[in-house]
Amino acid sequence: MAKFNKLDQSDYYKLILRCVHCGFCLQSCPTYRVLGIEADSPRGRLYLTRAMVDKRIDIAKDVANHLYKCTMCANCEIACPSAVKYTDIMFITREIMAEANAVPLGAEQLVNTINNAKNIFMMDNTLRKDWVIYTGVEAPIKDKADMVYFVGCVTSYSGRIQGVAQAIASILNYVGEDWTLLKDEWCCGHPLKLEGATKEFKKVAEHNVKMIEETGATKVVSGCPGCCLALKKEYPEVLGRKLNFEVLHFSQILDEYIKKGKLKIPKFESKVTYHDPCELGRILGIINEPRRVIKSISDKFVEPIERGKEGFCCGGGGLLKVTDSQLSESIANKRLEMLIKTGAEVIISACPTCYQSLADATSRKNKALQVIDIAELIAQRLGLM
Amino acid sequence: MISDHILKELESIVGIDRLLRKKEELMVYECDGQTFFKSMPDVVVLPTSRDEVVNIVNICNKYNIPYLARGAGTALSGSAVPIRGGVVIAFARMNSILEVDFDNQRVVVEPYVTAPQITAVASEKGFFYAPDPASYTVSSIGGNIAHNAGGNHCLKYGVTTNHVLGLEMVLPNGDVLELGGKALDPPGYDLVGLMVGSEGTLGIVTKAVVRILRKPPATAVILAIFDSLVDASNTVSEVIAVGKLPAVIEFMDKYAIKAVESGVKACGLPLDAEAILLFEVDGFEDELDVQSEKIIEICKKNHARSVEMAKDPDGMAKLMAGRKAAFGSMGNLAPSYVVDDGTIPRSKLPEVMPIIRKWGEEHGFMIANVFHAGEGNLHPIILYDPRVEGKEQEALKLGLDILKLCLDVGGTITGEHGVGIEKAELMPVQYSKDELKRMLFIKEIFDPKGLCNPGKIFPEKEVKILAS
Repeated sequence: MAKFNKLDQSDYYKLILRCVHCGFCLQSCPTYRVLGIEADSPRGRLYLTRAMVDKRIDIAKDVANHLYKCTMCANCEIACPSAVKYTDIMFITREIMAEANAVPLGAEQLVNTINNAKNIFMMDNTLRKDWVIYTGVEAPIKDKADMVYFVGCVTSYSGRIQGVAQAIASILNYVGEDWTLLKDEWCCGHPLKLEGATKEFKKVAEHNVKMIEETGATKVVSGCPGCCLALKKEYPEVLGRKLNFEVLHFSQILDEYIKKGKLKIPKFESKVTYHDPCELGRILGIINEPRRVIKSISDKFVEPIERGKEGFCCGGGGLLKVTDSQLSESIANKRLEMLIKTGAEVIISACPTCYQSLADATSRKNKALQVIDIAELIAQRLGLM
Repeated sequence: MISDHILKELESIVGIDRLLRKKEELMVYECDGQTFFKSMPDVVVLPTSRDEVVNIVNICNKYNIPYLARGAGTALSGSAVPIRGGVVIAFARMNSILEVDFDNQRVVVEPYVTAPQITAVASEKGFFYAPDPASYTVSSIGGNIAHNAGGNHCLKYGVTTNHVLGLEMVLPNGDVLELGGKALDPPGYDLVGLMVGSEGTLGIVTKAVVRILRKPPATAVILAIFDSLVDASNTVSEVIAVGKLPAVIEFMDKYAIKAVESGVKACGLPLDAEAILLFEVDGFEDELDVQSEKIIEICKKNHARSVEMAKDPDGMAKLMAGRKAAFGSMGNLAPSYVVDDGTIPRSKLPEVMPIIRKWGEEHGFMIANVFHAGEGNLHPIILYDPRVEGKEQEALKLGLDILKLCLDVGGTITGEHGVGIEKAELMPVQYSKDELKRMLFIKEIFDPKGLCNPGKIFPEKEVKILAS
């Protein structure tokens, strides 16, 4: 049996046994809310996990199809009265599934892609900084700097999301930060961890940490909550040591700049709402910072239902986009409906994946609605792009 | 086993995505909220309309396949366990609110809608849906109807049957039957009342008309802490006896407190108390103080260690959320539990509570008690570790003994969780042969083939004897 985070088999089983099958998690789960299928609920996935450990069913791809539909949004952990560590269990379970070669094809392919290309798109990794050329923004690559901007795969390579990188770079320039891109950034590896590929994840972590530490930076900033989660929480765990830099999401940096009076941003007149990315809000606990930033420029901010710690997933989490893209879209549609109900004209996001999911859902449904990243919105208000 | 051609017929109704037949898909439907009873279905279907349900039932009828309707699977008596295999009709996709009629204070819903979803639409104009079992954030109205669910507020507002006025049902012969409607008190036999609490054995609910009530203008919560189970128990009947009717009187003993306080829903309850009582009073602001003063006085008279009143919404919500999470919090104390829900006359609480504690200690079980004290609806939760051989059976037996004790003091074997599989053997203890015979006549009228949720409520042996 695989080991993870010093948990032996009995500890793993104890974690699973905490679930008393009450079902309080059901309505918190985005896949269950859309499919209504018990095996695609947190309670069902835990039941299947226990059945595998008890050898009632085989560790097989058919089971993995349900376990890998989970977006790992962790909303069930908020609903669970018994404090079941659902995501911890799923990470260990996925590690076991990966060792047994029992993962869905899409997830398996993604691991191969990252191993070979060092990014999630099978692109040439030397083209990772091409967004700098496309957007025309000034983005330094220095030997030494105070701050590293860790861009992430989606922001680096996805056409319309490259505007987020442009925005972040231009704001960092505007306030005069001593910052740099990494000379050779690799995928943060969060998707590897989500797949259960711990060895490969460790390799990626070692590389990126080496790159960052070589710059002597004390701060790493990213606009991607997935990258932030990997750098801040998952790297120290997998490497077994404390890292010499602080990891911040760009919304925290913006909040800090505004507090210190470094940014004077003209007001935004449209009615806006904010979608909490799961990894940013619930998992990293960054809920108030983006709201303070938005409220500093908007008098027409409206909260959606299912927000903050209880935020509803955009459907883009976990590996769902590669394991079941149709389900991912259905969840995004559901979330969009909740955001539309606020009556807002603009949906603000703080995650490239949420941005993509919601923008795609918007184009499928209601073209008049604008989706924008918090960094882009601020850069636009400052006239930087 | 269901043959391939029957599966094809079912697939022609719901399509391949809403028909589950692989082992890992079916296994998760083998039990409900209480994992003691397990039996896998042969197939699970997820209809999206009444007509699909009719077609599914017709196929089951044609081929004599047992079937049952399942909501969220949060029931605690095995009532949603397909004990003879067959078809599970899972209602998770029928979750729309069909109509909100404020003029008549009615909401029309599909069976998988939850109580808070009804309250959410009703609250737009200051209304709410009253029945609120602990599982209400996830349990379905269909399941609530099947079990005649109660909840914290049923002391003042009544149980599910008092709030369901109309039903659309698919009967075991495939007919659609419309019962009741938006109007009050229809003449003749109360068939809606017959269906509510019948645990899905007489037909399948596909639509319900429910009543919504005006939200009370003000609410307050009183938390009374006791060092003795008997003192807390005496307080309950004394409060009712003076004519004060709180909306809620909930009881939690030290183990229930420990479970909640060990988890994410901790609400600051004292771990060294033997028991706490949670009262909720509602009405006009001035009235609250009068009600509360009397309750506080009675608590003090019965040696409450402390009595506090909360009026701030956050504080009240936190306390009530802690109470509601008690069942789900049991994972903080043990991996499994058996929970019973016998009711007893309130005045018997001081007698029964210490006996339950004593029996638990004698048999080496921790028994947590968290229940609707105002109605005398007990919920002894017998905690055990299923990995220890024989414990599960022993816990179940102890549960049945507690229910027999409830009968001995003039109570019943279930308040709201249903008879299901678990308590079927106690039906002949609770009821006379004549009563059971008449109940079985009714079952026979609706379901002559015995395919609709078979093996529930009535013990098999008894059914055969009475039928002969």
